[in-house]
Amino acid sequence: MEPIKMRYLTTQREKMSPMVRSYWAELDQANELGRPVVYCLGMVPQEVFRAVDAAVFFGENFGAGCAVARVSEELCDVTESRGFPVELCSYIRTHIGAMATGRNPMGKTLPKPDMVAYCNSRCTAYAGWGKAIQELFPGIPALAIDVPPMRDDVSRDEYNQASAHVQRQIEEMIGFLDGWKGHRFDHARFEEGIDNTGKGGRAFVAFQDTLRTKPAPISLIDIFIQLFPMVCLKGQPEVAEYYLAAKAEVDQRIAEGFSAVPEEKFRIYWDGIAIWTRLKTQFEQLARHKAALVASVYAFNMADSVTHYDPARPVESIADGLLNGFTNRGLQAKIDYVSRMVTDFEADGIIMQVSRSCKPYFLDEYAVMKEVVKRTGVPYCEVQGDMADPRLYSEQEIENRIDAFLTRLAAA
Amino acid sequence: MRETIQEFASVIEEPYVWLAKAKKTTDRKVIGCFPMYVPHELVHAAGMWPIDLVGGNGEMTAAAQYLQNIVCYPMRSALELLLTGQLSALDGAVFATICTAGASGGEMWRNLNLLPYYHQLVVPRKAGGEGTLQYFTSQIGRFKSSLEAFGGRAISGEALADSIKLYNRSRSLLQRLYEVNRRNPEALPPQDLAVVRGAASLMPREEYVKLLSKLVEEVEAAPTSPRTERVPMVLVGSICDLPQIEILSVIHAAGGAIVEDDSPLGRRMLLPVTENGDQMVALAQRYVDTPPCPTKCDATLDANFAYLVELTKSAGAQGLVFLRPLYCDVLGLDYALLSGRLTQAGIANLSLDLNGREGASGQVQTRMQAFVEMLRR
Repeated sequence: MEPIKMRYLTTQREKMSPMVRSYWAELDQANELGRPVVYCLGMVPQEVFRAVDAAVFFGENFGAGCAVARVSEELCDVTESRGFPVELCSYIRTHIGAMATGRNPMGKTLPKPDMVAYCNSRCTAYAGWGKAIQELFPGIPALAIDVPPMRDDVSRDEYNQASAHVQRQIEEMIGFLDGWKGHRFDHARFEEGIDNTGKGGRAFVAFQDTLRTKPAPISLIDIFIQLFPMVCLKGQPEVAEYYLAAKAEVDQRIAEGFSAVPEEKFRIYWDGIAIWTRLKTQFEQLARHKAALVASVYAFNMADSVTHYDPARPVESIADGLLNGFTNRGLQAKIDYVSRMVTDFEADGIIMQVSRSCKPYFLDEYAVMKEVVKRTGVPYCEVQGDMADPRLYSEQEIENRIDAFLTRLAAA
Repeated sequence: MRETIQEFASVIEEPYVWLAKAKKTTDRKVIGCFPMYVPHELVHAAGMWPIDLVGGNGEMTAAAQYLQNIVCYPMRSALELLLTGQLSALDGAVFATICTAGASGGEMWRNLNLLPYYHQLVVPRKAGGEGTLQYFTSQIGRFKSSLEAFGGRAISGEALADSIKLYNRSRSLLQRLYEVNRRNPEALPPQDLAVVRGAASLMPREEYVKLLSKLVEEVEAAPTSPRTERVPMVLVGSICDLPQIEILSVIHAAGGAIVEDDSPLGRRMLLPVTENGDQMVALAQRYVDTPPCPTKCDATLDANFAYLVELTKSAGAQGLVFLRPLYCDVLGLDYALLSGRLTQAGIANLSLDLNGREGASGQVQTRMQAFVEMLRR
């Protein structure tokens, strides 16, 4: 049987692809032009670095890109041969391998960083990632923001203490950058960046919300692919412009009654990170069962941490975003969030993807899913996967489990 | 001396069986603290009995409903003990947010609501700067209020001063045992020292200090044992659990001597709390002053490397052994980097992976023997 092909957005091809190319071209040239390159990891506020005109490299996106380009496995191998454990985050292993070999499938080369910056709101492994970068590029500074986790029953006072702790570190970061290598910190540009990120986040939400339509006019896979502007170009005006253009195209599809999966029968909520090595396969496999992927905590929650950004209170906006990010929240907040997604996007089934090397996502995934299923009554199936290391899962097993689940859904 | 060590050993053989029995003799509330950075002094000053929440043995089936088998052993094991009723002696638990597992795992305990008391101690994962001290001091203050509310009484400055003194006393006594072990491992082998150290996680501190004082006197008065030619080494790491006694025995049997250690519940915990000045600040300051810890995001590799080199050189060690817990990204990353640097600096080192309490497999023994032989050459 001919596979059902994904129909990508024209906007993606015409507008995002050039953005990706120019992003890498900019990074390729940065060292030569003497422009500082900052390796940003996690949710560290990129707007701060753009205010000293730095070229920003985003670590997680690099890992995902290498997985899509099918080179992550070999880069992970390089890292493991240097004594790093195999169960370590595959984005980190991919990046260490790339730094050790200089490989970059997206650009001409891997730019040499002048600084690494990260925050630990999602994951405590960032500290080690930062150190690994410093080890391969000796002498560069590392700036870090410690973000306290937020329980469900956190009091107002406690929240304010945590926010003050985070804000103080952002101010220290700004203080360090102002004068670093002769650069002045441009406050107006910083505020503009915050404004752009807020607008970009809100436009992304509008774009992702088109998936509420029945039948779904695009796939969750489209959202995964089009995460690029939001995560790599944070603070730039073209982010909001892009998502508004993408949404306009999807609106047109809706008006025409277009269904991304012909004869959509089931709507599936995907829990966990994308398996970047099997995006196309995944769409096609589900489409065979007339199942559309319509929502996921991954990707969707990223915009939530920035939609409130207010240029009148930039530092506080960042702190609020970091503290309230999905993986930094308490268990009930996560259960509420996922349950709401399953209900709002009218999911008929849930596929829980356990990314075997991403602790912040898988640690409480069972505990969350147990309650979500109880609350929503929507059935689920579990697949063991990974975002970038295909050696951590069995392709056949994922396929079999999803097939069995969707067959069962069809029979119900 | 052997009898005294045996008394400590009887505590950790089956910790929670021992605890349930010991609790019958007191009306103090028992509070399980996830290992490392919860200040036991504060719990003690509240009239309660703090213990380190150490793991158990055996299958983990109940915990598997909540945590995958790729979560670190201490978190899974503690949850298994809770869900299977083996922690019936506990009145409460405190989790420190030192890592992703500590924060998320603790949240599960709070939601399960199986114990009368739960507290999450927010630990800044950054050591430097005035802000960190200030923030952690406020969190310790919050912990104090929470204990007071649960215990129904205020923690007086006097009571806390007494608790701080008691814990400092226990640390200085342990320090003396470490010295004996370092000078003469035949008189006090590392596995025995580990038994004594492990019992500190459980016994009421007053009883512990009493028994420890007796042991220190016995050990220091014991005739010097004949010296065996051993290879001196530094032990780095371990899981957040009781000391790995089997592995220590393997090192000893292979001809190694642990002359320094940098493990979570080992020597790094011997740092005293300042007895003068503001008590909340003093408790927070101790955390800030602990040697570089991979959980702290500003503990640079340079600092950690310099610290390990200094430990190795000052102790006259010939090599280092890293005990790396599986599924701990924080230690996994740092140890790989440190190992590489040490090798470059000409300091021999060996990394052993620990899967919970699986103990010393044949492979571990062989690797350890080979490492000792290599250092001997």
